[in-house]
Amino acid sequence: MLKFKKLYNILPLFDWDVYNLKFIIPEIFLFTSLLLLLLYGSLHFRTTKTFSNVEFTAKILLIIFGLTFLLLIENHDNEMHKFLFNQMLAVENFSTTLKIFVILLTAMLVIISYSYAIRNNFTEYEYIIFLGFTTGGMFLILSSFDFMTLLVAIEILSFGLYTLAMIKKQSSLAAEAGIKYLIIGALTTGMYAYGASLFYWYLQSTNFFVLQLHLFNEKYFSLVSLVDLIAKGHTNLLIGIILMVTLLLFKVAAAPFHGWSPDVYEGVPLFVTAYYAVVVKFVMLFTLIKIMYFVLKDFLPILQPGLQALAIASLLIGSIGAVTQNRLKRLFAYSSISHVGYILIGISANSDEGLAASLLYVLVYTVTNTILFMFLLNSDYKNMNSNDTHRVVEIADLAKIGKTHPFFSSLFVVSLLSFAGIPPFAGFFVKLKIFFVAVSAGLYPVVVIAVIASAISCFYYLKLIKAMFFVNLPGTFRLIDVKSTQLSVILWPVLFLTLFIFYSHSVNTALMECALSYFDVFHLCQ
Amino acid sequence: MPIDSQLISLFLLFIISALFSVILAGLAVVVAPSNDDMEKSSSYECGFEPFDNARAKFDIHFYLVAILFIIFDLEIILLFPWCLTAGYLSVFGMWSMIIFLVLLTVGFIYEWTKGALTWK
Repeated sequence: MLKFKKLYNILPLFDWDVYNLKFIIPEIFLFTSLLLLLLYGSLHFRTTKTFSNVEFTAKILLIIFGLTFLLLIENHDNEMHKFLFNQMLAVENFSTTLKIFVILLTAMLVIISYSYAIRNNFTEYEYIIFLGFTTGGMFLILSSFDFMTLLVAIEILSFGLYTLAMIKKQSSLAAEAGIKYLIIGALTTGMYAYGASLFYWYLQSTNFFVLQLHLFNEKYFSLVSLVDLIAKGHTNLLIGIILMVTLLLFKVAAAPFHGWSPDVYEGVPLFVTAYYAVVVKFVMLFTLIKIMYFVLKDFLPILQPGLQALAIASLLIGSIGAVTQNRLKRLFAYSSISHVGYILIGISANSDEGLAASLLYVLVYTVTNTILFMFLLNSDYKNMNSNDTHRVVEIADLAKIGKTHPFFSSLFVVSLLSFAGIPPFAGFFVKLKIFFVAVSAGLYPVVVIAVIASAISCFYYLKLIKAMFFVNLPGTFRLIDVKSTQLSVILWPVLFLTLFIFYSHSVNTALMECALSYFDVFHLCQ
Repeated sequence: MPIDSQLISLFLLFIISALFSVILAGLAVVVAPSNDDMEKSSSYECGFEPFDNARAKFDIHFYLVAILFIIFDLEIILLFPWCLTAGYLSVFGMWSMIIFLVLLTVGFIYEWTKGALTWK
């Protein structure tokens, strides 16, 4: 892209090469164009409050996303590890790949929520712009290389999420969920900031690389157990790391920190739930894995017992909690808690295979979740006797859909079976991989509990399938007319899950290569 | 021990500002006409009765205005240290602050057009 390179050399504002600014041009472009979009919206949509505003903004956002996507591809260079702003940001292939995923997922959500937004009278164009800004925040999270940048990036993301949670101003349920999310988010950010300050006290730096190098050296001087750490006066380091990891565990809703997630999922509008469950969780899980496997790699043996306990708690609470739920969103919230449990097993295995398995699990989990929420976003329950139309909220609302819409319900079934871990689908292979990794790391009790939890989770996924195909209730399920664009969007994840067995190895290799390129960044000096 | 000249100027600043404020306040008492009534001499608190039922409803607009004020107040906190070190910063530091101000301006335009500043 020679023309493009000439363009930023003409711009006189910065010396682009000195500050390495050309490597964050996707972010700069995204934020600038979103600001212009906000400016345009605030000047032109002053008097009107119609859906066409939302539609126009969404179209512009998709164009912006498309251009950012091209810029990201341009950035995707095999030889490139670049540090910016005094090593506060690192741009490398792993994060660029994840950014491409994030932008695709968000664009997909904007497209599939089209009919949902029409039906629910979304007239505030701002929610589209907030989606853009949260995407920018996630970009910064993915390329942050310093605990301060990570804090600021997570805040950029969180502010957008709090606002999105309360986008329906009249709904008291959404207000409750939003306030809950805000308070929990503020508390955990405070804990993170405290942990980062302890860590700064300990090392006079908040850089990832400094921490990683320090941990490596300490391990070299045989500082390997918890008792050693406390006896040699490294309590600050220990508490700091635990507090900082806690924030990430809160954001992914691992078990002792999961309390907010069912309530928030239930309260906020379905579209926002989908955004939380698909995109935000994707980014936070990858960040957790990145920090665990790269920054804290030499600290992982010390954290391992704790992580195993968290994994067991997540698996049990997630699976048992979901059994009694009747409302779909709460059920999926609990099921996502149990899936985080599997990923935590992969993390606590502390091996390269464990890294690959957990990365693959996050990918498959996200794709499966996408189908689920696409389905829910494009469906409505209609009772023929009383002409009562509402969203699909409870399991009972799914009744008879297998007969009226066999094709779409079979797509739904694919994602449910994949979640449950039934063989031909992707969920089975990634779960198996996690179990293999855990067994080879000697985590036998965790594997036994995980298998039991997996069996329990089969119950409620099959309960949904039963409700769709084998239960007759008065009232008919109705799908709002799905457009062909949305149809094409819904099909590719299903194909991904079904044909996973044929290319699981190549996906795995690609992920590992990307991840190891990140690994190289950290081992430049070793 | 020699007295630092900077400290003397600081001392003078304190003296002069104290004198100035005393003079202004004193003039207001002596010169300005005053005819008190019940409404004027009662304590004023954002337009509310200061001693009233705590459960009374009132306009959420007060909060909005206060929060908008605080945003621009905090901006000053960021600007002050930047001003003190502006001489040492490179062109990068200058543009960073300008970007920050542009961001604030966009937010200001948004809240203005949204009608947050007009009192309905």
